[in-house]
Amino acid sequence: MTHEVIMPALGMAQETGVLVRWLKEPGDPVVKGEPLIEVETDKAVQEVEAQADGFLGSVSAAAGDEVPVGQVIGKIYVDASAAASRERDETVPEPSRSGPEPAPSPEPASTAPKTEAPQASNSLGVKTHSGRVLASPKVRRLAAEEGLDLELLVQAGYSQPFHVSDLTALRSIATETAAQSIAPASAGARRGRLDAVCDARNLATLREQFSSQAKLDLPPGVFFARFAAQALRASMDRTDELVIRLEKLEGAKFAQPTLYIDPDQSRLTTDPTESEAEATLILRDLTDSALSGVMLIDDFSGPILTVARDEGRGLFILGLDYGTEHLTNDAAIAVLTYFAGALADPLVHLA
Amino acid sequence: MREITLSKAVNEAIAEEMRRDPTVFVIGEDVAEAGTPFKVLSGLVEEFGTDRIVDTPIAEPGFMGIAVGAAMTGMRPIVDLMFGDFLFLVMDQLCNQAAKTHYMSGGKLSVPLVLRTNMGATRRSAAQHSQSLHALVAHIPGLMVAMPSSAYEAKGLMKTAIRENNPVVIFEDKLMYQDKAPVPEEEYLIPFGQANVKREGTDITLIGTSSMVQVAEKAAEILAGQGISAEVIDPRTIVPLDEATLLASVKKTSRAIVIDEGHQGYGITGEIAARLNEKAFYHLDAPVCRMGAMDVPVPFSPALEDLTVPTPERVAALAARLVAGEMLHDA
Repeated sequence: MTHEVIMPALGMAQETGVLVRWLKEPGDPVVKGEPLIEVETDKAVQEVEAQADGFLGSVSAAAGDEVPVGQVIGKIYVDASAAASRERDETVPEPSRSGPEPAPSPEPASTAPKTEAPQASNSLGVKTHSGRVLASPKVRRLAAEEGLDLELLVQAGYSQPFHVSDLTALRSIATETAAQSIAPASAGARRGRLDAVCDARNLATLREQFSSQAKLDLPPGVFFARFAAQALRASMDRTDELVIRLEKLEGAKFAQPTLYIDPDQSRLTTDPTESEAEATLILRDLTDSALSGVMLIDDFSGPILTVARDEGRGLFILGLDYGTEHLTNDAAIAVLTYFAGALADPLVHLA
Repeated sequence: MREITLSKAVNEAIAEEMRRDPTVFVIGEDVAEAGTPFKVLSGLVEEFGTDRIVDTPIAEPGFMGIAVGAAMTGMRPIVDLMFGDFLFLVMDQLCNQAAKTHYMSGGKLSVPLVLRTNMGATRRSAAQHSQSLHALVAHIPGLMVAMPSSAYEAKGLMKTAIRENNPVVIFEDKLMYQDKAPVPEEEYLIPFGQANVKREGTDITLIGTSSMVQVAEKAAEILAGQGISAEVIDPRTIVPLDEATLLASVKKTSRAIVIDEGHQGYGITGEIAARLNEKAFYHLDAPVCRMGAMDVPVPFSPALEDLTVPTPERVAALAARLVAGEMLHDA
């Protein structure tokens, strides 16, 4: 019924082969004896023929992948609909790009980083079904009643047509998607968000004293950057260089961002640098705006600490958005707790 | 309960109604001494005589016309049409006269007539004696169509048909005449338009008419072995059709196959499937499928003839694919 396409051994001592390219697209009819793939060994590029008639289904290796000899790189199905419907049953392993590495630990398909293979399966779906989601009337009705979008199943690589039995998968995908939509960027990581408030009056008093006694007009961002760096060091035992990127919202527009490198180890009066170093933490200063929190589309590249101002009550409103790749939950709570404490009592923390 | 053949059940129903109502009489070819080629009416002429069991020449349009006239004028004729294939000969009397008289006379006339005939292939009777033509008459408003699936249905539906004040066509499957089923001694009638749920199930509804009820039941057995729970329903009359029972079942199972021995093209299966699609659309998890006889003249060759009709194996195979959510046709 199903024929597996493997990486062939083209030489006596060959252990791996590089898949140069597929000569067929998933969903294409395949005739036995017809060239199916191009494989490069240490000697030459060679065409390899299909060993069965049918339709090319899921492929698990992409052009350029180095694949161990004997590994399954695709499947040929007897009929086209089977080629399409088998997609969901395949967990497409991430191709190893630099020789035989251990296979990546399996992750649920919906949270795995995008690879070329799932995109190939999506293109198959579109090609076969002209973009329309194929689903039974009943599953359409039930999905609509629950406010679920069948498109999510398509994106997750489930094969069509969909039936009531696919609702379970759809519900869990929808739940995950809803959780991720708070922080849509960099799919795959899981997101956390912390909020805090602290007294803003002490920092205002301190800045007035600097101004009146030392003739130093220090913008609040200077303090924010310094305390953020201190919070990272104290909470995470960090000794490496810390780069705090300050993004100040002035009215309704962000000013040019400024970078503070190790602001906790330099003088308060040190000017921000011009460098383009990658930020350890993004600090969003919203104190001169009406906003109390921001999470912009697609710009999540580091933990983001926001500072907003509640003028009436004399409070700072703090938020920390972070992902699993930045901070653990415990570390994030420690960072924001330290930061809130420092802003509430700045003099003590300037030591 | 005693078991009798379908043939005996029909005989009993007619005899009982003839004893009850002196206006009932039988007319057709070879109905008296011969008791029909299938011996269904054996013994009736001895009891009721040749005035009420009337043998006719080989002239279907003639005796059908006589019967329609008799019905209009106070009698309750039972017309015996030896083979269902001969329906084509009586179409004008049946469809243009009997079916329309009540309507066209403004209700002043009625035609309490029963046309009993047969259907069913695989009897090696070739293309002109093997057809199942019930769809032809079911298409005509003014005619009721009953399709008994066992001796029990054959008796109960026949008695209801004889008492009905409008024309009824009853199709008996000629391969089932010797099939036995429990039939009570005491009198009973089966109302028209009341389907019978033969077997309850949750995964798919198999709707079968006449002998296809047996096919559906055997398919359900096969499916049960595969862990698939099939519900089997016998509509018993296709006009009137008990839509409510069919729809309730399909709304429960979300899938259905309609099985009938008439040709599949433009047939009963298509009509029932269309009604289910229209009225249970948002409950369907798979296309409603038809399984009728192949759209070919019924072959005389036994090997070929057997291929033209639905079988339990083919029904079960299709049902399993529907339950599995397989795509039967390219999108």
